[in-house]
Amino acid sequence: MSNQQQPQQQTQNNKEKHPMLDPTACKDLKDRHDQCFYKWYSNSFLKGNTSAECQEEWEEYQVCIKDKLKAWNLEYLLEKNKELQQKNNNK
Amino acid sequence: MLFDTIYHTYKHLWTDISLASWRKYPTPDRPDVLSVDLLSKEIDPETGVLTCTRLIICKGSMPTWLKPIVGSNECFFYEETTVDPKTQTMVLKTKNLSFSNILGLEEVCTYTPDPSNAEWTQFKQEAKVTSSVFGVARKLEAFCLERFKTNATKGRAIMEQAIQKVKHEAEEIEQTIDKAINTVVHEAEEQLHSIDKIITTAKLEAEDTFAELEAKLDKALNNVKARDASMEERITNFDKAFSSLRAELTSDRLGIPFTRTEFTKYTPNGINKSL
Repeated sequence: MSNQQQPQQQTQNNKEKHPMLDPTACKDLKDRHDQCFYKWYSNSFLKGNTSAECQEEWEEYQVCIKDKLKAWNLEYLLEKNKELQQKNNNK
Repeated sequence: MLFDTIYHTYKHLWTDISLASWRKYPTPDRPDVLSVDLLSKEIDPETGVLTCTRLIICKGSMPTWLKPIVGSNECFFYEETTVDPKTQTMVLKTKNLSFSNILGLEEVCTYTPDPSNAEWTQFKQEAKVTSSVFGVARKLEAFCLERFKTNATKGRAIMEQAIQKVKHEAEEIEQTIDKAINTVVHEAEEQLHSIDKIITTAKLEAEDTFAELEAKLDKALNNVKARDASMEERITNFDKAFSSLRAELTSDRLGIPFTRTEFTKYTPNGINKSL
């Protein structure tokens, strides 16, 4: 509970700035994805199942993350990840 | 350049530790870790290895002498995590994105099952600090390494808490399942009970109808009997009438039998004939 109150205060402090400059931006979408991810991780992935799950949650979360990275001028991180992806795909 | 390596053994299964590792933050013990966001997750279809990248945003809690150099309020870290479920190896590589021109911070954490005890997990945490800033490099490196050590100690406590969270949740799930099973059993029992009730009611109703039928039958029998009785009574009455008539007829004659003509006088045909 106390964890959830902290971000709200943070939001108010950063109100004058871009809303995505709040470090806790996208938290709700992250939580929604994480709940699914943890289940998939322990019940599926660690047991050898490689099929991807939580796609819908992931895509919604990533739309928000893109805006967040833009606000912090960190978009290049996504480019970096794309390169990594391609490296994996080429394998 | 400074290096340091810390070893630790967690008395928990690697699977539990690896799940808990994802769940370490946010935590009130590290208020300076503001957020941890996943930027990518990929599974290599051939090896089954999961690679995730994450962005960590921290509150810049630095000594006053460092602030003029670093300047920023928030600092960013980039982390790449690989998990190989086959070999049970989890590796987290973290490096700083902020002020990387003056300071390089790199950390590599590795989680593997303890070779001496499969139920435990070995943890290796390596740190590398590099600074080239003239004059303060040494001081900066030492400061960062010191920070690394304090955070490592905190990190172990946080991991234990995350593990408890994971285990607690597993127990809760178990309890929920237990509860659900109990509810189902209870509902089934209730249904059985209500079926019992229905059967009993049906039985009672059947008994009722049976009793009713019996009563009806009794009534009918009694009716028949009553009719019989009245018939008997009528027969008796008739008998009586008949004998009194005979007595009447015989008493006049005082034992003298009728002659034919006399007899016919008393019968309708005889009456007609005599006329």
